[in-house]
Amino acid sequence: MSANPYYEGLKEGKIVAHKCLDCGKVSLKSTVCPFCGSRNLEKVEVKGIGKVISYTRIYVPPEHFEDKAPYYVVLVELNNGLRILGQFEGESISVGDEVIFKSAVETPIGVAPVFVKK
Amino acid sequence: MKKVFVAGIGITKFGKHPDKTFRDLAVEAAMKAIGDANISPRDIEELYVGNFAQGMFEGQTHLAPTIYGDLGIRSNIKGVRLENACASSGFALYEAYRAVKAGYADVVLVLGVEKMTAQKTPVVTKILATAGDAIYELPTGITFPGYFALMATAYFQKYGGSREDLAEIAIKNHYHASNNPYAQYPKKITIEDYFKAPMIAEPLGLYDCSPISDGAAAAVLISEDYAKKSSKDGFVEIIGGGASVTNLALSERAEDITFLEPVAVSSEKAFKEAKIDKDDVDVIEVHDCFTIAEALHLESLGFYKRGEGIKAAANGETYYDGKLPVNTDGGLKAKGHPVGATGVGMAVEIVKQLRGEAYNQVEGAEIGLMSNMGGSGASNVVLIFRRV
Repeated sequence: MSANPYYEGLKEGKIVAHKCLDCGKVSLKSTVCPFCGSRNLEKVEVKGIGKVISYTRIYVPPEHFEDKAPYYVVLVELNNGLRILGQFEGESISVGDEVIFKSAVETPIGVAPVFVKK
Repeated sequence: MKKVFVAGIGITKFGKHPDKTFRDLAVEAAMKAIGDANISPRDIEELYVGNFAQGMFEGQTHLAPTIYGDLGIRSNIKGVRLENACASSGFALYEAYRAVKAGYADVVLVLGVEKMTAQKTPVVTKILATAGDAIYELPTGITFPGYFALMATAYFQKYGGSREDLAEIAIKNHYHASNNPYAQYPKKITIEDYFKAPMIAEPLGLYDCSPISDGAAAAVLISEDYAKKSSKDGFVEIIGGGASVTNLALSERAEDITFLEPVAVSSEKAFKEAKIDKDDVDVIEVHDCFTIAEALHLESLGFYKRGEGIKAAANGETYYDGKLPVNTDGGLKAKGHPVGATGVGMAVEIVKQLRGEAYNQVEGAEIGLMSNMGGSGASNVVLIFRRV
């Protein structure tokens, strides 16, 4: 697992992203904007509040996640438009629910954000 | 540009092959295709091997020389292994087509192969997941069924539809497979079977998912000049192709995750090159790695309006005797999905249909299309075939 600003930020309770000064979109990439190809990016700290675009509950997990199943994975769109995949902690979830970034989970293959209902 | 023909096809049974290495499977499929084309291995001028992860599954990479030696080709040819996740051999076929079309070679062998069942399910699940974004997505514990579950949930929310509709796609593909002895699961299933099966990634259950499989498929492509010298006839021409890739992470794709942009783009390119309309197509093979993916393909390819593809199987329209036969060999769902073999496996079925040799023969089929997708839809290739 290699270090990167996204993982370091998550571990400090922050979502570190980059805003493209040309197309205005926000992504997790720090060198080139994945939406327009611009290299004119500015580091931003994103407020971890957004809504659920979609979700699933994983019953058959990959290696390293066997003892966690079943668990939720959510695709969240944060209020500034950044989309991010994370885990969800809670009893139930629906598309459109408001969620908030709670903490980071460190796994043998990297770091991921954990969301809870707002 | 030259005309390109499929002169020979070969396929192994898809399923569990504990007694065979991936090399045995590759040789079996390749020798069938070489025999069907009525050529000798020494006639091959270029070799394209499509494979996803044999390095991880069985510790073997550098597959072009591996296969070259096993086939006894023994001439100074170009050979390469291509990887685009589940679309590896579809892309290999596309590159082979372009090589012949451009005049670089007159006889090319394309091979797709994967042996997956020697590993336990969590390890296979982990290896498959590497086709997703390892930095930004995999640490969440997402799996491949999970990616398509996200799409299914978003689809139900946007357009309606339900697990009952997905069940009908699985039932249709199992029905087709029940007549195909090369399929991994040549048996019919019922709606009760579907709902009794365990959940994999909500809302997708066991019968929404293609299985873990071993298998190989091969095709020999030749130029028009070479075809004229051949004693064989009954060729199938490849009349158009198109390919497209987009961002790897689902979170960096098109805003609507129920739309497979690379499928739409590669389809548009292929139809433009083939100079035909969608109405001209008699039979198609689409990448139903999960039931929902078949519905998304039908819509993204442009055969169905958005929100309507999910009802196609339930309405009987995609059975082999329906108005748009889809996955007449059983699809990935029931034929099996040895990842690297899947693309050429689709081509094998289309060629059989156009030659009139299919197990679920579409009457009078003249034009067929295949659409082979990589990963959660970040890459796709479409090829269109015509009976000569």
